[in-house]
Amino acid sequence: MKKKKIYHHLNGAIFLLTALMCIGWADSWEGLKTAAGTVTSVGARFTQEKHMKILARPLVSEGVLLFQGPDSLRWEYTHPIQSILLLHNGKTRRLVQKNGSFVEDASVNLQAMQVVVQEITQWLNGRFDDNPIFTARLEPGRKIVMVPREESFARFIQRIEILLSDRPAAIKSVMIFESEDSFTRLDFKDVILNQKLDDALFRKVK
Amino acid sequence: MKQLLLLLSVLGLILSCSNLPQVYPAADSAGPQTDRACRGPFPDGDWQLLHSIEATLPGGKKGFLMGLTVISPSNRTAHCVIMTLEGFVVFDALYDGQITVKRALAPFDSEVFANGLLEDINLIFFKPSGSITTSGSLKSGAAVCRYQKPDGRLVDIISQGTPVWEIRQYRPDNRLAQTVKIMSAKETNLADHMWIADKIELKAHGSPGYTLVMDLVEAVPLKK
Repeated sequence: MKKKKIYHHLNGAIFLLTALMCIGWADSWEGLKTAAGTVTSVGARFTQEKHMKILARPLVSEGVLLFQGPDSLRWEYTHPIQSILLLHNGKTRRLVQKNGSFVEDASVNLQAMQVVVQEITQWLNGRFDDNPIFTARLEPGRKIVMVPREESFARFIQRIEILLSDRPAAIKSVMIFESEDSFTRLDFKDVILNQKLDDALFRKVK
Repeated sequence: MKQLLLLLSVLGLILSCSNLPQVYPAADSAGPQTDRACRGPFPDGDWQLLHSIEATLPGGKKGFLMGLTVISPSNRTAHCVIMTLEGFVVFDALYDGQITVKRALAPFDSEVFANGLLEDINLIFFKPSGSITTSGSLKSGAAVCRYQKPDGRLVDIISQGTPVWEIRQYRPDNRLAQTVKIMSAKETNLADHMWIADKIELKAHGSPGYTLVMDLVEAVPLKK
């Protein structure tokens, strides 16, 4: 009976501690880095909505994002076009499904995508503020707003808004504003932290 | 005599470079096959079309993009957006007789690219402007309808049986400039036999040439 009481008290204390940690984790850059420091890997499913003024309805894509610290990323679209963007050891590859098999994309637009995927790995490492491309500010409601430092980059992306989850080290959604007429919204779900991921996932289709 | 031989050689060379095939007028020029060729594989009404695009560049390298096109064939206007597969817009332009580029990131930021792209869109989605000069069949037996555009260039629309079409655009010297193959299509209006292509291959001939293979991902009718 006594043991059961202690167990309940302990459970309550852990719940309170977790709740307090959750309140505090996204209040400062240090809090974000500390929370991210406990993360070795992230796995999540995502839904992407592309909104543009000319669209009768948004373009909706679905996929899976895998991250392994410090800088390995797999950004995979499963619908409607199957493609995989891989970042590993500083190298970016894109593979696209064509007629039942994956083909390597040798297009030049990968240079811009390399910047984007490296940016995402910085976020997943909790490093939002020490960024040569964007200035970042932390807003109430676990929101981070990032604005390009250079006018030249603002032609590509005007602003990024990251909404952090109430769960430490997890991102809930990302809004990427490319122009006044166009933005992309990514919503993450089924987030799994610190699962063991095979290295090959970041190098090939698998 | 030598001069005549030289002249004949040059003439022969010019003729060998010309790709304009002969059209054999049909006995019944208003036959269903010729009518089908003259109608072409062009969408009817306004559409929002999303394609995945595979571009094969000189040297055989392949690049992949998404193309979003909002077309209005009745007034020959188009809004064209090129995106990376992740959805980042690299090119955004309007065409209403003139081209207005709203956004163009390198390497899609040249005037040559914008003009070429809108020329390709015109060829793929809009019935050629101008008039039909002749119709009938090619040596192969395929039905053909030949248009002459206001700038003098010729366009052949060849019907090779359901639902495959080929559109050939020629240069002013009648050499082949572009070929569009409609590999497969969906019938969108059974009563009027209107089609919307779901697999398109565009080949730009000459130097530097390129090939685009466009797979339809989504087609949204905008209004009738």
